[in-house]
Amino acid sequence: MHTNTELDIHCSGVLKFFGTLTASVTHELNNSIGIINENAGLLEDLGLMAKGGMEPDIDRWMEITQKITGQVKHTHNILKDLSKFAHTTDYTESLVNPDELLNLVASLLKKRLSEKNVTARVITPDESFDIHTCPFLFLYLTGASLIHAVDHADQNKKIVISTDQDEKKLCITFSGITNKSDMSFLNKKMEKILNMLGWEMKFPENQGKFLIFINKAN
Amino acid sequence: MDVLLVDDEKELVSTLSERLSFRGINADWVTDGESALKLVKDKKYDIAVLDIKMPGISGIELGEKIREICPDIHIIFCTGHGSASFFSAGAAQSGEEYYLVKPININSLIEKMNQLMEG
Repeated sequence: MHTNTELDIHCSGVLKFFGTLTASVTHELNNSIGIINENAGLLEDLGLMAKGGMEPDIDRWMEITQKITGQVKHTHNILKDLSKFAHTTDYTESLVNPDELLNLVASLLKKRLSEKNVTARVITPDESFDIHTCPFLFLYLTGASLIHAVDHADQNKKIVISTDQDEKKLCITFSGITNKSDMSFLNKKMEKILNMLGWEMKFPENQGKFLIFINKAN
Repeated sequence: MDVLLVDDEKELVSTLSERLSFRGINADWVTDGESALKLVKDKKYDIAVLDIKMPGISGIELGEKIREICPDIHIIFCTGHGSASFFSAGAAQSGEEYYLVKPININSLIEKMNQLMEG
């Protein structure tokens, strides 16, 4: 029998992140399918009642079909996000928009956030910019950071992710976390990836935030 | 039969409640554990149908708290996670035997409810 620590080590890193993200997305998809299922069942019930002689309420039927259409659209958007995520593994390096990827990771982890009663907002700068980096590792490191931030959110339960840049570096800030939080989620495998990419993580004491610095010319 | 439905997806739980009412089952619904506990203190329910994964109090935890207030209540757990066998290990921790995998088939739900009421 493995201890929790041993299991954590085996499941650490990319696989654990992948599992968390998949659980979040499948939960949201399953809820959408559940709502479609219930509303389709309701239409069927109302149809049977109309067949039995009850006067059909056309407005109600329209309302229900609109709910179904809305959920199909929502499900499609989740799948589009999932597809974007899947295709981040197509290239080891490409030109990416950090704000777009941060919004993507926040969207994919939405259910995980709501389970913890936490919201996340990505503040985008006035001027959008792109960087050369590994898109998958960008999502992995920022996603793992967001999960950590959510698990250590302060009493306001609002995580804010913002980006800032100078000529050489991009800085991503995760704020709204408790000062009791630390960098313990940074395991050795993650540290290796950070070093490999030339990224740096900082946790200023008692500021309720942590920062990721990314070299723009990787 | 008085039933309490608890699921954080309002659209899902309210529609299920309406469909149960078409079948002669009175089903109140709430979207969180705290509201569910308030209801069970005021009204006697025969069955509680609880979603497992909810913000705040989880379904399993809620089931235990409801049982403390109403020892005779029957509980059915619902999960959108994994398979029924995967879930049953979790349900066994709280001594529950009844669970359904989402999306819920209303006929299966009513069948379980009837089994519980007859047993």
